[in-house]
Amino acid sequence: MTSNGSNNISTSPAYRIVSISVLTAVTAVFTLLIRIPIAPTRGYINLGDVAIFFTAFTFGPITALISGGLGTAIADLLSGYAQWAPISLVIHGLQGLAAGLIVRKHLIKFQRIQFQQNSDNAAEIDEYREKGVRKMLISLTAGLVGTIIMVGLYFLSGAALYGIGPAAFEVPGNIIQCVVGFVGGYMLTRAVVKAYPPVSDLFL
Amino acid sequence: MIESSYHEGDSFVHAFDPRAKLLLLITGITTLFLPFGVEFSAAYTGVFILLAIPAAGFRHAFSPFKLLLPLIILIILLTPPFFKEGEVLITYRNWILLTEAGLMRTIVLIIRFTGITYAFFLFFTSTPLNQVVLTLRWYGLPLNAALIVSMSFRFIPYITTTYHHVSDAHKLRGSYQTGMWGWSHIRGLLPVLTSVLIKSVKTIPVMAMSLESRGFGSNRKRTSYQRLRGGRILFTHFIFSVMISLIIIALPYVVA
Amino acid sequence: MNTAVSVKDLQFTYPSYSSAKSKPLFIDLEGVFHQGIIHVVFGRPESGKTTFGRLLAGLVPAFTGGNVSGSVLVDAVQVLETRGCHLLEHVGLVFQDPDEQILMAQVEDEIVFPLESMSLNRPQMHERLEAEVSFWDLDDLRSSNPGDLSGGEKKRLLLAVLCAVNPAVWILDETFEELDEQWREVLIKRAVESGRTVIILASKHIPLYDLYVSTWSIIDNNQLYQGPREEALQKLGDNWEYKKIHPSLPYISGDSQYQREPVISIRHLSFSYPGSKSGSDFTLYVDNLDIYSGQITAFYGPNGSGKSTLSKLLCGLISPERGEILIPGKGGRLRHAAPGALQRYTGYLFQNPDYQIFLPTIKDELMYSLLQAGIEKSDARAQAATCGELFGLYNLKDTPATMSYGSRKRLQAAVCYQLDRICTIFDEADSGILLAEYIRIIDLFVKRESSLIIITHDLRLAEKLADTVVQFQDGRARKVEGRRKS
Repeated sequence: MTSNGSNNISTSPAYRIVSISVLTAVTAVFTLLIRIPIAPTRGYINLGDVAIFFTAFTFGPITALISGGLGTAIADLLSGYAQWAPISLVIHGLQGLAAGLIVRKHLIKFQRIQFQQNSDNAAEIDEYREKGVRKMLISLTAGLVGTIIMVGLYFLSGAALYGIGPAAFEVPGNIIQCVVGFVGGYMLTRAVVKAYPPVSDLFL
Repeated sequence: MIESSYHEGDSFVHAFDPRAKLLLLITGITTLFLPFGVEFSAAYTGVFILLAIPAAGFRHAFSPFKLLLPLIILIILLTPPFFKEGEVLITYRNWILLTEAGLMRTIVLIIRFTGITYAFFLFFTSTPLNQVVLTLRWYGLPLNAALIVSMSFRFIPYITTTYHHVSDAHKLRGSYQTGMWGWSHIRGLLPVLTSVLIKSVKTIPVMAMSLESRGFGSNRKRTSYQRLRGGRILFTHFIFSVMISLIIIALPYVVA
Repeated sequence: MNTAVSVKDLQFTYPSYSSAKSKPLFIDLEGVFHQGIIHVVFGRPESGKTTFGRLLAGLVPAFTGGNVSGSVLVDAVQVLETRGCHLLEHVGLVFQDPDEQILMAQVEDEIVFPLESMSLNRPQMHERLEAEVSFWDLDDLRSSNPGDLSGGEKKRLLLAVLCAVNPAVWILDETFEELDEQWREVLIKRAVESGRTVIILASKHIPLYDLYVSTWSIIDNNQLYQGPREEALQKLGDNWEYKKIHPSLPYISGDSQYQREPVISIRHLSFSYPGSKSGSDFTLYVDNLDIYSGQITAFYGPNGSGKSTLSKLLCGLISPERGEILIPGKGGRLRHAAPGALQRYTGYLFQNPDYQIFLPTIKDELMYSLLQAGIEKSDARAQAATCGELFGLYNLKDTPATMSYGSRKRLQAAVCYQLDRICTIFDEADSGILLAEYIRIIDLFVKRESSLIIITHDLRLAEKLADTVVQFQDGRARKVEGRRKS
């Protein structure tokens, strides 16, 4: 009997469940531990969104939906902001889902090709570059939609919970956090795909 | 570093069945959004805060305020400017700073958010996390979702440790400094996060092997060992919480 | 005697992620393991014994990819054609690294989880849970988070899971390594009494095996050899003879021509972890200890005795509570060193080589610190190539994260080597790689007259290699004579 298992790893139920759990934990740890003190409201921004965009770009929409939502919700729970947990669950989940649906598999596959190609053929390089611009635009769209979902929904739920004024005050901080999240997530996806190519087979 | 919000205790809040408690949490929060008037919101919020004293102990009972304070200040500063109608209370030159409507709204918002915060605080301070998961299972959360929650809690300390080791390793390699927060630090963070992610992604297949070898994924029906207590206690607690729910919703109408 | 496990012309090759095709791990591997007795399968690091165990448990190639052919029959099941989840009652595996096997956030849940998969009812589960919790002495820990347990406790937890399920074939991957003497004996007696087929995968021989083990094998050169004990041990021992260390170490074995001057001086140092939850009030106390230039110092002692804590202090990753660490300042006079200064003075080779890998190729990894230090790109490239060659990393385009453990370890050492620290700490670098390879790495550092601290569990190794052996016990350090005097 001969078998090549590499095609069905990422579809095995055990693999799916574990990858979602590990990325949930990664999202929670990025949210809880890594804080950059620049945003005005909470005094810092966290890197939870970096993990969410990374998950969306590498593991796809379904994983990002669950681990993005659950990871930030657990982080809220553990840092004493339990009232935010259900809201984060929904908002960050949708953010990851949208980003993953927009980029689809091609982004991560492309990043791997880009790395492997050797610069010999000028026409080929041009083609890669052209494709690269298109992929860049697609991922920018993903970042933009993700940001709009996150900032918009936080504003709406904030307005419902404690009024329009304070909710509006949080918007700039959330935008910064989300943009940092997108840029960081994109850079990390590139870095991880290059340093660990098997990642590019995991998108589902 | 990471501590659960649960506080061990033997108060009646702890003893109350978590499924009934969740029901009360939901009605409690819903009531805060219903247009009953500020007296009732204040009364209910007051009850939540009072219940926090036996549930969390006197020292911890007021800790949510520490996290609430910045937001309360924001509400005080940013709500009144949106209201120009009603009797004017404070002016500065030609500017209307505070009207009666604005004041009322500010008070309502503060009370509502405090109430919501305490309702959640009460639930999670008196319910251990595995019971929270079992409660959600009882309300229909799929097994796989419950499994993901439990495994995430196992992986969080693991990934935290990995993160600390990785940042130590990068520090000693000269590629990462702590203490200073600037562009160089943020740039140095990228290698650290890359290593953490590679390490995490690489452990997934091995952990998946473990899960598979524990019989996960076969079509045999799983049984479950951990279970919330059922029987008469559950029944009484449920009746009790339904009654309280009805009372807190009906009370404003009765009084009116 | 009935056959429990039989393997016929097994071929296995891992998938390749670099330009080079990966070499087959097993070629025509054959072997038979009889029912109800204890078997030992030796294997040097990277011989494939972990993969062998996972193959028997139906987990490879399902989760790793790779090409497999042949027939593997375990407890009358063709495992290559069966998913791992259906093998629960047929074969159970205890992983080498417990952190990669534990899945639940509570000790009890971990034991109960596979029982739930077996559709046992509550009284049955309760009975097995209670029996194993008390047998493996986990009663006080039953509601703890397994992540907080010590290495030995984690192993016991995984053994409790195995025994609760009680499958027909037990595979123990280096399980005896992390256990202390008392638990080793408990485990092997339990294995005998269970009447199950037990396969122990090990890279080292311990005397306990001689009393209980029935058959001996070794995985070597892509094959499994089954034969008498002496033959297996001899095959295993080929590269392990301690007496062979000497000739390969010209710089260490010769008489010291270095002027011995302390590069690090420890004075009345004490440290304890703030708010340590485990209830143990561990304090490290080192009164007086000098690390000399051009010498090898070994830190030896059980887990949790303070070796790692002292190492972290010496690297400036944590600051001492009391006392101080001195290093030579200008003019050679010893003076107090702040943690920041120590971070640039002492190098540290983490036990796990993966903590610092983040770049796409070996070349990038090797050039990184050089470029950081402001060295010209062309110079850095040349230096990286030289250094790569020195550490046996010839294909500089390889992707570090997908290389073998041994290569990753060598890359980690090469990166550390380039930093050119006065003193370098090797944290259990002897585990998981060939001894010869370990010695080669040590040799390279010694040639450069770097002062070395090696942390090890292996007293024989410590005594053979080091000039000074520092023995740790419960946070106290005691100096004993080293190899040099022999």
